[in-house]
Amino acid sequence: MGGYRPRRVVDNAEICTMIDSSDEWIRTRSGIIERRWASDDETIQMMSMAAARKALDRAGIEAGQIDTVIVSTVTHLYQTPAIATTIASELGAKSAAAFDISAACAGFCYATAMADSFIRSWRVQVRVDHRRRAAQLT
Amino acid sequence: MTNRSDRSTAFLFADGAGAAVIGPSDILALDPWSGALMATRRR
Repeated sequence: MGGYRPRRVVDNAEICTMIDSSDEWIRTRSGIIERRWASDDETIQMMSMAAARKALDRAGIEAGQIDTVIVSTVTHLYQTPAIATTIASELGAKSAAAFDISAACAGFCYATAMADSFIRSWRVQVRVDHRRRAAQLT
Repeated sequence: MTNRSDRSTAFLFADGAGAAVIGPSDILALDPWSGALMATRRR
């Protein structure tokens, strides 16, 4: 597995400059202390690529071994092409199938289930790439 | 997409990316939360 977290840390105190709340209220109800917000240069593609490269490195496989790239996101800015095709191409997974799915916070589970089904019925090596970017796009 | 002034949800949202490589395994289990993802057997 691999991940990328944006550089900018947004703590509860900063959030509370935008809403009528408090650090104590947020912590006791959600457990959240801080979150990350992407900067302009930390795009979906940039963050996904960083996470994907880490995952490939840790798995010890080459991009050319990937059969399918699944990206789960609700914030890709274009209806087409799917961001998965861009990720596959940039990774060097030239022969991989690539498509996006949209299932919000549950996207990782849906994408993993799809990958599992593909492997059972079809191909061998599948990569799932999950991406969530909500606050940045309000 | 989200409302940053909505006090009931604004604190929940963040940015980031994660990736997982999933492949076949002889272990018949698939648990995305434990990291034991290499767990699918081809039929």
